Amino acid sequence: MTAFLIKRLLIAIAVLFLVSLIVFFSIRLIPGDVVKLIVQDAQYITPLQEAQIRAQLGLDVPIYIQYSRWISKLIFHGDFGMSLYTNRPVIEQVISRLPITFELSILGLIVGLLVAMPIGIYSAIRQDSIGDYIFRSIAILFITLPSFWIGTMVITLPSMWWHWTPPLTYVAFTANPIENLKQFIIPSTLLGMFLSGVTMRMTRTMMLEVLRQDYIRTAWAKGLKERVVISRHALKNGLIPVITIVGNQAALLLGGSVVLEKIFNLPGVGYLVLQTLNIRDFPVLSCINLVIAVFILIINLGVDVAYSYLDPRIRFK
Amino acid sequence: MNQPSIIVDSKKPGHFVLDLIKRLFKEKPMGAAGAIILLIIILVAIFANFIAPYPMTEIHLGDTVHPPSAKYLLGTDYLGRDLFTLIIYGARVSILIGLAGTCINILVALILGGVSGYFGGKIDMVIQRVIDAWMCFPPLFILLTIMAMFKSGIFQVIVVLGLFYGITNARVIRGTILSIKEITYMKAAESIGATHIRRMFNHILPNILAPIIVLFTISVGQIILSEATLSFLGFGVPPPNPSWGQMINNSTRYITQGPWMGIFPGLALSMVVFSINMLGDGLRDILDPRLRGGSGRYGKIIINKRLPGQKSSTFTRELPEHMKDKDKHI
Repeated sequence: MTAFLIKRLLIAIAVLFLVSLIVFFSIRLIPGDVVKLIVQDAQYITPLQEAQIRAQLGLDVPIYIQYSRWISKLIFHGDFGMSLYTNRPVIEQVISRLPITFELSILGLIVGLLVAMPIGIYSAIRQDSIGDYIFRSIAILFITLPSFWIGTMVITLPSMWWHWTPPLTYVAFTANPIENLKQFIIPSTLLGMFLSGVTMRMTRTMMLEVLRQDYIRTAWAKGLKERVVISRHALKNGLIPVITIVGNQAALLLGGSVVLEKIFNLPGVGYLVLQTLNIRDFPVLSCINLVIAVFILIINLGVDVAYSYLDPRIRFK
Repeated sequence: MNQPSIIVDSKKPGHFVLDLIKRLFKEKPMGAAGAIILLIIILVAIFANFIAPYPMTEIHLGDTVHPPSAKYLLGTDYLGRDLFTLIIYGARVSILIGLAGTCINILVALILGGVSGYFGGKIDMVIQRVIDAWMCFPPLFILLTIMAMFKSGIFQVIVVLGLFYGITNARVIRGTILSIKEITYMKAAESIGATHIRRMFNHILPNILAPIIVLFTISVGQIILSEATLSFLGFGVPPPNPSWGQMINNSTRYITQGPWMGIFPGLALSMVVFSINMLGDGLRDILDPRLRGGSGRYGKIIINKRLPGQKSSTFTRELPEHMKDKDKHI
């Protein structure tokens, strides 16, 4: 186990390095001049201000020096740079918004799993029944329906028909937990809907695979009841791979926050992405991408370790 | 033949694609329905000029935000453009981006995943770590970041979405190739001295065709949906090109006066992606043997019907001709 952990950790460090490269180069390797791009919408920019932005981004030295400066500042001082617009450290801005996005994602995950697991298991043990067909069609529908469209409809249609709109002014959880949850319930359900479609199918496939194995046949042959065969023998092995979904979907959940935070007016990281894109505040964008990527990396590492703990076969591959 | 028998697996190897279509219609009616809807939409997209009742950009100033009626089938938008016309032209944009983006996607996935899976070793290690890193970013974050840097346009959307999904899907291709590499015929090909090129194109490619077809189908849906999302957020297809996502975004300001402006493009988008996914699901079921029903199926009595004239309910499986001979020798 220790050897496995060390190996995973080393890989994670390598990936982390690559992540930092992607973040760093994403705003520097674009065709044309990033400073021109930043100032293109601003009307009164003097060459001097342009040079200041250039210097602030550190664009006036060769690119490998830029990277080593950027990464050493980041590692040794936790300095992600300053926002081009507010002139405050970008990390403050990002950290203050992270809890909102996390709350949305975690609630979405809970909704998604609660819906998907029972249905996926049912679909597997009643393969090709009417219920299975209906649930599978629903799963595809959930994956299909664009959350931005459903979100828009959920906000506008009830207000037209019943003069009711979901709460759209953000209340912090610490200030008023009930109001806060009321506000999160619809967006997180929409987020969970997409996830549940994916999870439902995954659960079904995994259960089907397990159900065809010899030890399940043995359990049947022993004369066990279906309930026991499923709950005591099949579920344990069938659901282990579903854990990986949490890792795989973490990126999707956090990414889905962009659309839902915009529609439901939640001041989270996703909304910040849109705001910074519109004003081309690239240091903030880099910081968001890096922080989120690191979180996802950590989640995936955790999932890997949990998986190998639950399923010892993985460790010896 | 005195004993009635069910002939399993005796069909002659026909044309792969024709065979696939036949099986889709026979075994997966939902998938076939998806295929038909998709075909209709593709035809609509191609012949948009002839089907649309009005020219694409024609503005009816007197009829802005006009509800659906006989004159305007699905109503008009805030500029007085016919919504039905816009949706039809929107199909053209969506299908074009979906198909072209998917072609790039599959090409990138094949090259990256192929090199990684086939050669293995250090190069595999490096490519896999890059993909690991790439997948740490939420799709929308990275897509938005890249789109914000380029001038928006249909071509840019196609390239960016194609590349993005290509890198992600490389892993699927790699996994498939890894499993094929283990099969004996690959070793046999190697031992008789087949070149890399020959092994790749004659032995691997035909055998990963099935997952590629499934990947292709599902990816068209993904890319259409991503394009709509990007356009909704204002970073996708720029006006005046009609795009369903952009239409939904525009509708939000006028939605209380004209909810049809938001409802119909969304319905069109959902229908297209839904039918693509149904088709993809059907194809996957047919092509992926692990998901196929059959004798190993759990909780189902395998075969319990008696054919007319048959004495016992057990089915015998007739062996194909060439195997019968072998049995004699044994």
